[in-house]
Amino acid sequence: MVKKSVKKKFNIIIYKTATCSYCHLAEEFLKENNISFKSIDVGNDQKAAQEMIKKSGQMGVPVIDINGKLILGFDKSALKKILGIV
Amino acid sequence: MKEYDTIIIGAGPAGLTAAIYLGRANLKCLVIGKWNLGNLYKAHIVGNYPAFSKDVTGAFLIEEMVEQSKRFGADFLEEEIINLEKKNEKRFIITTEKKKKIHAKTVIICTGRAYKLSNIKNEKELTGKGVSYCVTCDGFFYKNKKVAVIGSKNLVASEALELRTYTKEITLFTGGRELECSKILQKELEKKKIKIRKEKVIEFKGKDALESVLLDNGKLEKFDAVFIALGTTSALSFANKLGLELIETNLKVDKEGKTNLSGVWAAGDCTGSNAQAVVSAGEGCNCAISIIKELKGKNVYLDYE
Repeated sequence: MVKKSVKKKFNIIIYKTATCSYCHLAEEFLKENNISFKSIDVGNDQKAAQEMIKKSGQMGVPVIDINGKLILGFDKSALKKILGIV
Repeated sequence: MKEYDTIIIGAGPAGLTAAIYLGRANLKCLVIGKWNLGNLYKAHIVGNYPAFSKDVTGAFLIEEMVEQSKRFGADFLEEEIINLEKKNEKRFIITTEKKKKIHAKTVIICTGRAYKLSNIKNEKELTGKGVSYCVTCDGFFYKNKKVAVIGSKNLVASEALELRTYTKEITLFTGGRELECSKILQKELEKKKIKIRKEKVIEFKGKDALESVLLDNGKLEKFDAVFIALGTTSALSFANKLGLELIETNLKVDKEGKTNLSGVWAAGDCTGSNAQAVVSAGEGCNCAISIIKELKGKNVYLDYE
């Protein structure tokens, strides 16, 4: 039986706001690498904002949740590492 | 609406050298900044700038560079910039403290060292937890909350006004100084009823997040957030507004001085290089040459074409 290599599924949530340029950069970066993600605009969603603050212990955006692991800010090298991008 | 080929933000050795090269290449450039307020200008004795075998003052070097840039046609505007936006692929719009809007095809950021920390007690501990440096980034968290801004120049005035989109309860603390901002911004602050107070904040207090501030008169006052906006608009403010990549608090650039955003270059101390005038001048030159090649569609740079 041929064993298929299973690509790791990334469950990604980006907590962002409309005016945040770095949030936009993060989304662009994921799109360029064909990685799907969910975006939540915390500026318009108080509940999500509270959720983000609880998860990350702080109030800056973007907060990128990858399978429960958090990246604060658009940290390209951290993103590349976790997602296995060269 | 006046449009320039390049707007240079900052009138130190990086910006002025870029202006000289751009001018010589017949590109219209505008240097925005107060050249007598920069770091080199303040240096009393400069003994290591090549070509000057005897000590000179930083002011002398800057004044010569200003003359040289003017000789090649650079325009100067001694106002502070409060906003920088990218309109489209070919255009940037700069807003000055007097609310003037100027367009340019390209921008070089030469603003010098990064934003000023306030050094108020617990600043670092509470950053991201109520203490912030950027209204654009974090303002929305404080909708209808009680906020303060700290600073004494155009930057704090503009940040306070931007905060008004989110809340009406804004107090501006000048830290013992007179608020030095343009008349237009002053009028807007009055119109929007933003309270201006001269007290100094000496401590940020709060357990998991900011709860209150301690003032120099001994009074404790509750605030949900404090935005620090000291000094003039720095490279970091521009980075936040445009989404420029950073390495720590420095703008990330390649060998030609290009940032990650097309049309935006950066040179000098704001890129984290050795803080030496001759290095900044060299970086300003590299940015100019890169722009000249791009705007003229050339692969090779030749002086005085």
